[in-house]
Amino acid sequence: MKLVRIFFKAVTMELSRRMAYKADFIIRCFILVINSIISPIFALILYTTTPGIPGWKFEEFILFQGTLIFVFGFTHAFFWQLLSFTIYEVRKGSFDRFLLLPYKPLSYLTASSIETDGFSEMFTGIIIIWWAFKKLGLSIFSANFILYIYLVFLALVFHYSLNIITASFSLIFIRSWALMDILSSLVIFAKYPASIYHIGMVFFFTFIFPIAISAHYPVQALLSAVSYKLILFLTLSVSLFFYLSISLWNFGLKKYKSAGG
Amino acid sequence: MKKYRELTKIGAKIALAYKFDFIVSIFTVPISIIVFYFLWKTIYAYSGLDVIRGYTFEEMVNYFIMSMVIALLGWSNIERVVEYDVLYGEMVLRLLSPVTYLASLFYTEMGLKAMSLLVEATPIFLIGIVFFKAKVFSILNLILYAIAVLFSIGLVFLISFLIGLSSFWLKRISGISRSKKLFLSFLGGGFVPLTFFPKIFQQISEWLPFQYIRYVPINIYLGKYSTFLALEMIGRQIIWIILLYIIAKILWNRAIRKFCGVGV
Repeated sequence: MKLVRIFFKAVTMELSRRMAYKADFIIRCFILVINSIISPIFALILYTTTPGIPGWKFEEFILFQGTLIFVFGFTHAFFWQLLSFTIYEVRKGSFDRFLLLPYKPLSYLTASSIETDGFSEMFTGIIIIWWAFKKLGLSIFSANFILYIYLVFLALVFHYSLNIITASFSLIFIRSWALMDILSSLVIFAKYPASIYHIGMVFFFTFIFPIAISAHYPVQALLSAVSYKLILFLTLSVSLFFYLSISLWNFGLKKYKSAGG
Repeated sequence: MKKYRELTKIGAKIALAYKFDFIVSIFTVPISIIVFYFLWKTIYAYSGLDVIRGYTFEEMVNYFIMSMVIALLGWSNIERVVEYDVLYGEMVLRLLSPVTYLASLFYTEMGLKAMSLLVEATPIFLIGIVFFKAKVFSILNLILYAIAVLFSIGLVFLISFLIGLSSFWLKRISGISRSKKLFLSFLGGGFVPLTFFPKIFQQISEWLPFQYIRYVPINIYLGKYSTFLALEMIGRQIIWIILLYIIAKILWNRAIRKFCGVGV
């Protein structure tokens, strides 16, 4: 319960930090919306000049992009600071302050990590999804929609784990801004439907490194029924990934020497 | 001349201190190329066309690899440096030095670029040739491309500096800075060639400096222009650089009058 209080405290702090420079805050919110619209514009260009991606109509592809923007926005809003905090504090050698608190470091970091930028992205994502829903005539009162929500939830768990893994690496290797670059470039694999890749890669992105769950499988579940077996497998692989990230984090904490670097 | 050489050396040393952040792009950039490769391979196969909007699949892959090379070389965060100097009042120290502010930024940046050419751009170019079957269309085009990229770096530098100057009025400019890279690469044809854009947009971009950052140099590389036209395009790049330089000078003179050096 205290963690919830910490969360709201963090929200107020972040907001006042950002609003210290009002012009920048407003411009930033506005620009982030435009930034996230660029990928739907790219989709529009793609579909007006070429037949597009096989198996994906324009509206379906927009739904894909909207889901992706929402998932990335959510990750950005609630999980990113966890990573950048860890990297920053570990390098300064002051990560110890999280170890002294009466909470588990990971729970505290998760509760206190918030970034306002993510909210404008989430907002844009929801608008785009809503537009695609209207165009495709989908309803939110259906079994497929529940599956969609469930898979989006799994996607969020996956991205949470990915951030924890990167943060754990920073505990182990200390100097690690480069890790953040690698993480953000691995995420690029999720930007287009998994069906464009080689079959071996699709297998890899589904079962071993389940990044295809970011938008591909949720939208597939919404548009055409995905077999329950696949959903079971996805649940399993994401849970495994989550378990792995937690173990790695604990291992990193054990390794941590508070020397900085 | 000596002081400029020293500034360039400082830039190279900064780059050396952060060598890990540089080397990492050897892992990250190929990922973007892989994604791009598969995306367009699927699209070309599905459409059944050999040429889409004037580009074959092979040219398209080459286009993207060369675009990545320019992205690595042309990347600049000068606006953040200017913002920092304005916000924390560091500008005062910079103004005391015998070199003008713009020149000191420029030569330090050139040192960074020299390192980036060695550890980022050249390896990516070679990776492109070995793994993605990129090819050199002709030696003359490669040389013209190199010249055009040089001026493209100058363009990005000046645009970044102009954005940086806005921090004299807006104080923090993290928002604008964040989207600068994305916008420059989108409007400059970094994602797809500008021929994929609507006609009206292409006509507008003829009158904007952005297409000279990526689209024009890459097309020179691919041999889309005749040698004469390529030289004309480079000439236009130079005209844009002169124009932006004049604007930067005027704005700088206005901004510095407003500046009081206490930090905000």
